[in-house]
Amino acid sequence: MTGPAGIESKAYRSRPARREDVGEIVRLYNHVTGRERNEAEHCWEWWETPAGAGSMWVIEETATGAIVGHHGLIPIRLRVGDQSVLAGKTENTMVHPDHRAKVLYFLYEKQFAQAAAARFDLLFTTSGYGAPGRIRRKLGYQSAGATTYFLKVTRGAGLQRLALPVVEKLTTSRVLSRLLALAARGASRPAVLAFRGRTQSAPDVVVRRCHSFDEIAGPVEALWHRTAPAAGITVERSAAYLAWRLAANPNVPYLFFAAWRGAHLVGYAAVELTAGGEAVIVDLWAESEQPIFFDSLMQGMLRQLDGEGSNAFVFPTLQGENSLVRGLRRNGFLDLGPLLRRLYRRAKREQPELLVKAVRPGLAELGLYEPERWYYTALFAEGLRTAAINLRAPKRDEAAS
Amino acid sequence: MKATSQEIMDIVKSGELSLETKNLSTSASLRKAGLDSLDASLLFLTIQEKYNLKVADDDVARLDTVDDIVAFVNQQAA
Repeated sequence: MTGPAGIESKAYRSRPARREDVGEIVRLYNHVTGRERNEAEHCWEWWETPAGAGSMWVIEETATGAIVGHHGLIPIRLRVGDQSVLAGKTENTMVHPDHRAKVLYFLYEKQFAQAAAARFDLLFTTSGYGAPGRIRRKLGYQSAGATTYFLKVTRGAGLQRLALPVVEKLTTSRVLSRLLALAARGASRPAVLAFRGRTQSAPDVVVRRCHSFDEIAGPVEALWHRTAPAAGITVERSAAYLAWRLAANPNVPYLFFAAWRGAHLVGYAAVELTAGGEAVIVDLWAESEQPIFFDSLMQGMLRQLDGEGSNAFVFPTLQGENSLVRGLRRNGFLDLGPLLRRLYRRAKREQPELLVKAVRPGLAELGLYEPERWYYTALFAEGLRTAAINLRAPKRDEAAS
Repeated sequence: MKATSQEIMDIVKSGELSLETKNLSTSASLRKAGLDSLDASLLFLTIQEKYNLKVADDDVARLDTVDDIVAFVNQQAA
């Protein structure tokens, strides 16, 4: 057991997490986040990944031995140019509220990052704002771009539902709010025209919904191996990884779509349906030689989902002129970034960013800090259920990151 | 090595910390001015190095004003 790097520790000590800590870590997580995670969900995320168990550390109060803090890195294989690298994604960084003023958390994470360098080629966080963002910048993380949502609406109802929370944010006046809501309702039908794309679908590509991921696991892995050389920087889409991250995810039941050209898989997508009725496209990967495969999959999938009642589609990604963003724009998705930036400024809060720290020498030169190099989908995220499309700015002290 | 209020205030106001230092007096609470855990870590690492002394985490939790820090440094140096 050790204290933090640089300052003698009397009140707290740290050590790697052990399997028998699971119950206490889950209780701390639930206390800090207000969520209700169970031990099986924790074990899926931290102990059962295809790249092995996560690297986890706990901070204990010396006097009682109680776990009051936690930091972890989930192992995830990324493709960076022509290299396969093991990345550590920061998650579940948390200190019990009663101890936040006393635990010198930065010094612990500095020590944990030094220990992690023996295992990981790079570290990244999707929570590059507030206190976690400041800490990680001090630890040498750099921005690879701001995260954003791209949105496409196929019917007025979808736009109204998304617009109402924004309208409520714009004014505290109930009368004005109602008037704005009525105006939004009237404008929603013509406004949907703004989401028309400029795409063509390949007549010989058929998009089908899958009953389970197992149906396409092999062809998806073959697709990944064919297309990986042109992938830029992205998650390695091995069948084992996708089966764990998507099919075995205890938090979210995903829908899977596959685009076939005869017996040949040319693309796949995973979608989460939120309680609010939006469809969040968590991942979409297609043959990269021609955009028409990306477009055929997207359009075929949107048609099916629209027919089943979804009329607002969201694609979380990074701002930047990369192939994914161009594909989304072609398909009629609009970047909500400017609206989000306005809301963040209004709330005097920071916009979330993807922060990355290269550990292995030479990686930084492969464009790690350039958003144009990334193919960033929600596969990079933790895999929790999306409660609603979140247009609010995050609070500075949101703890689990 | 002894510390002065001006020296500690210069470290606090160095720009590396996020707290509000305008009109900050030597007896004002640094935490009430916005000193968080990261700021406290950076501040006391600097103080350790500058004055060549050892600070423990429970000292950090206890010291909340520039005056407190000056007294602590000078007591350690005595």
